[in-house]
Amino acid sequence: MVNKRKQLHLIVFLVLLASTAFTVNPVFSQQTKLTYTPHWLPQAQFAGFYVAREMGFYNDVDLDITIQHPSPTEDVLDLLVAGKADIVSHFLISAIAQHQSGTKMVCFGQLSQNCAQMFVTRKKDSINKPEDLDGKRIGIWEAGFQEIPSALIDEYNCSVEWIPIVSSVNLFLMGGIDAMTVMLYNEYDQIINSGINEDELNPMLFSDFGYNVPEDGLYCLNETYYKNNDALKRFVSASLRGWEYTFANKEYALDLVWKEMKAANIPSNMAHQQWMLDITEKMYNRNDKPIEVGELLEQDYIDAFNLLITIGQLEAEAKPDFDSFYKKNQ
Amino acid sequence: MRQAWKKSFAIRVSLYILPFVSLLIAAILIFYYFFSRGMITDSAESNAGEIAQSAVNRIEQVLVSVEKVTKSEALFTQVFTPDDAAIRLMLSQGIKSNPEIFGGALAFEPNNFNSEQRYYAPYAYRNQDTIQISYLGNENYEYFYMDWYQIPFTLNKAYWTEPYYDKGGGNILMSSFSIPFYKKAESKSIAGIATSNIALDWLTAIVDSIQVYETGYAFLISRTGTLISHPAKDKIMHESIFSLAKEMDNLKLREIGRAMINGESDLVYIDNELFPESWLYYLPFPSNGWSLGIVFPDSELFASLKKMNASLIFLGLIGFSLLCFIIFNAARRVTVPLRKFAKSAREIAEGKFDTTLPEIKTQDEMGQLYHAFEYLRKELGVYIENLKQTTADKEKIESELRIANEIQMGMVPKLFPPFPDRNDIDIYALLEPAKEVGGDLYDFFFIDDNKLCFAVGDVSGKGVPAALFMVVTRTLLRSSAIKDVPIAKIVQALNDSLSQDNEAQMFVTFFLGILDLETGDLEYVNAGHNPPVILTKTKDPVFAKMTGDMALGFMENQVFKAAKIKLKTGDTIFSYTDGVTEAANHYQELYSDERLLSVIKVCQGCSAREIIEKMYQDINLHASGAEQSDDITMLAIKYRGPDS
Repeated sequence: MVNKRKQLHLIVFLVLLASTAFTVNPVFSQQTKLTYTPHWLPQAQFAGFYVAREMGFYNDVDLDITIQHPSPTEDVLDLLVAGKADIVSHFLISAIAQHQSGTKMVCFGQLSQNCAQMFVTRKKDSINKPEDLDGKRIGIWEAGFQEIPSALIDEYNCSVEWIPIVSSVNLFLMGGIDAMTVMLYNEYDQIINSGINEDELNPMLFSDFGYNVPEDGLYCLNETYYKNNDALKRFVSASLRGWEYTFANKEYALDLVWKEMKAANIPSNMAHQQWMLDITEKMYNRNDKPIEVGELLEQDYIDAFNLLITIGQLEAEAKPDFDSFYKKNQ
Repeated sequence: MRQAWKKSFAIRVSLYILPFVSLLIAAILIFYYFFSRGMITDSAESNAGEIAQSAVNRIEQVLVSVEKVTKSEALFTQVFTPDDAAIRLMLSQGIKSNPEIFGGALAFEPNNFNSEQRYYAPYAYRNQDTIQISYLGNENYEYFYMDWYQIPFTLNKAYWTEPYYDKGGGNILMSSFSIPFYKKAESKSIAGIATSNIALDWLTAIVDSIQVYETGYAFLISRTGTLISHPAKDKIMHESIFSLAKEMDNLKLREIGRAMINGESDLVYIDNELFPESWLYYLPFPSNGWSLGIVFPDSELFASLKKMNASLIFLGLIGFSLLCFIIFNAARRVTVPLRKFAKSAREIAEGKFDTTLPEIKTQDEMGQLYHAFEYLRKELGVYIENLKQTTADKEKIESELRIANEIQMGMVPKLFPPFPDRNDIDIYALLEPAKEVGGDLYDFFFIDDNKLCFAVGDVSGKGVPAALFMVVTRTLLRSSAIKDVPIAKIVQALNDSLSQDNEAQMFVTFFLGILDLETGDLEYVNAGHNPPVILTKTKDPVFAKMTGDMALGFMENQVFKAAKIKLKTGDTIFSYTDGVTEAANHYQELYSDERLLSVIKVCQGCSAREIIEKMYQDINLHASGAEQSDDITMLAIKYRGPDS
């Protein structure tokens, strides 16, 4: 008995020795450290990044990625300019506006290919179409994303009062505003999960009104791009790998999302995150666009650019410059 | 076995009663079960209601006191426009004197407190045993857009925020009460928001401490359905009742959630993963629209009922078995005398009239049966005794009647031929009484050497009186028929004798003839009797003419007329009583004169005996076994002439 135990110890020791000899210790590897700041608080919208990190997809390509979420009042583009984040994700349209304002930044990956933004109103208020919003109070994220809603409201010649909202749908639930700008994958479902039935709501998806502007894209400063060009390419491919794995293993991905949210003390639940992940997958659908996954279509850029001119955020004579805005991940 | 129950009265009675009794017991049990269920549900609703109401009241008390403090601060700020120091003091005092308040702030509109200051929101809060002051608001914390500020501001009314985790306050669950305060001059313009926040640990402790039955518990949801307190801690602040309903794909739970956040109160039955087979009672908080739910498993609610039901079913079964036993035995006991009666009846039937009857002392139906049986037994004894006597008497009478019949039959000549030494006459007769002794008679005898006197009679009535009257008639005839006395006188004398002292009012129809065998002259008197048939060789038989005389025995001094005919050699006179012509068959059809004549007609050339035998044969043929109702008497006299 004693002999057998000794033998076992010996075997374990030898196995450990062998594994130490043939494994590359991460401490000594040449990993590139980058901070990625998603444009919103932890949720399933960013599941692919958590999965890539947890599954070691970043490690696999020698990246040490820190995912750092912003506070509800922080604009990630400000964080980017301030150098507090190496990589940020943001909506295409906000990024174009920032780019046009002179920020030396590039888009090096486009994840979402569709617009999930929408207005939601209560049926009992009889606000059924954009025209009905005239004279109404509309909740809008204080952190940004107001370009498309503004364009839509302008198109219908409505005069509205924009009420900045930080993070909750409570003001809408309490009847403090007539309409609210929400994301199909997020707040729309939150409203339903707060006890308002879907048939009591009027959803107005912007994509249904000709504003199918892609959303989540990956951005960094020019400086970062040229300095870490290779690392960023690896970041995009590892992230896409993470997303691919996410859509194939939603339960696992949702577990990670759950942990992330719990750590940040953000109230949520599986039902909602499941909904968000499902919608995100739909948003990532390229439809018939002649592009590869993770790429930005030039026409989408031009349409978004023109939209900014329409709402007066860009001057009429501004010219789109796709090449300086977008760097294809090659 | 199948027949056994038919044979036992006790089993049959049991089988009649027990199904009904079992139905009754089952019905009572079912009624009791549902009635009790209703009662228990009502009582559970009222219990849960009381528990919930008491918890809500306790919590409301705190919420209301927080509201009061905050409202006072808002009012104070509005009225006195305090400076920074005063505000700090007020906030600190508010917290100090209200242990339930964790922190309080007066958040002003941008540049409102001071035109150069965008953010002014002093916030006093507890830090261990001290109260600290900090100033809220910076570029990263635009408090104007926070729910606690924005919602009461936009709605222009007081508001309890949804619960949130406060990072600064030890990461505990909190909720804030906020209320707008206004600029002094123009009170409708909001100057800012006064707010107080409270930790919810004491509140969740109250809710968590609620225990209903064994595993029942309470939970709390906010105005948006978010779980604030629940035994499953990981669900708190993450799940709403609606997200849970969605995860479980349970629309009913969603509807309950809507009722809860709409401030309704009810007791409902639910069954899903979160609340398996349970009852949920919910009650709203008036202050902030939150809702308290009390959940208790159906099995625990009705545990006592189920236990009691099991006992009741057990007792019911025992009771039923006892009842079976009792009914069976009672029926058996009741029927014991019946069985004894049956035995006694059999013994009585066998003639043991001294048998002992079962002793019954009760006055009920069994008592009546006993008395009836006793009476029956005695009466039957007496009756049988009488019957024995009567039978003996009857046998004696019958024996005497047999003797009387023999005597009667001995009175009429029965020896044929009666006058074997005479060739001029052929006589044959038959008397067949309907009963043992009859009232018919016939007779013939010589008055002198050549004159044959013969008679046929039928006494009214039957039996012994008729027979006696017949004997009297026959005796009187023998004494009255004297040579040379005219036949009418003979009959008259006979009538007078019979009529005297005839108190019984009996009478006799009578045919009397005197045949002169030398001449063939036949003189006769027919006293109300059937006319005899005269059968000659050449002509069809005819009835002898009636003499129009009455039957004998009615009255004295009656005068009779005689008739006379002449018989030729070979002629026959056939006399009979109405027993012949009135002999009936089963259809009550009478033999009739016509049939008599038709039979006689074919008897030309027959001897007297042959005529009577043929007649008798034909009468029997007609009767075809029907009972003979009257005496049958026939007398045939064939005149052979003096030269024979």
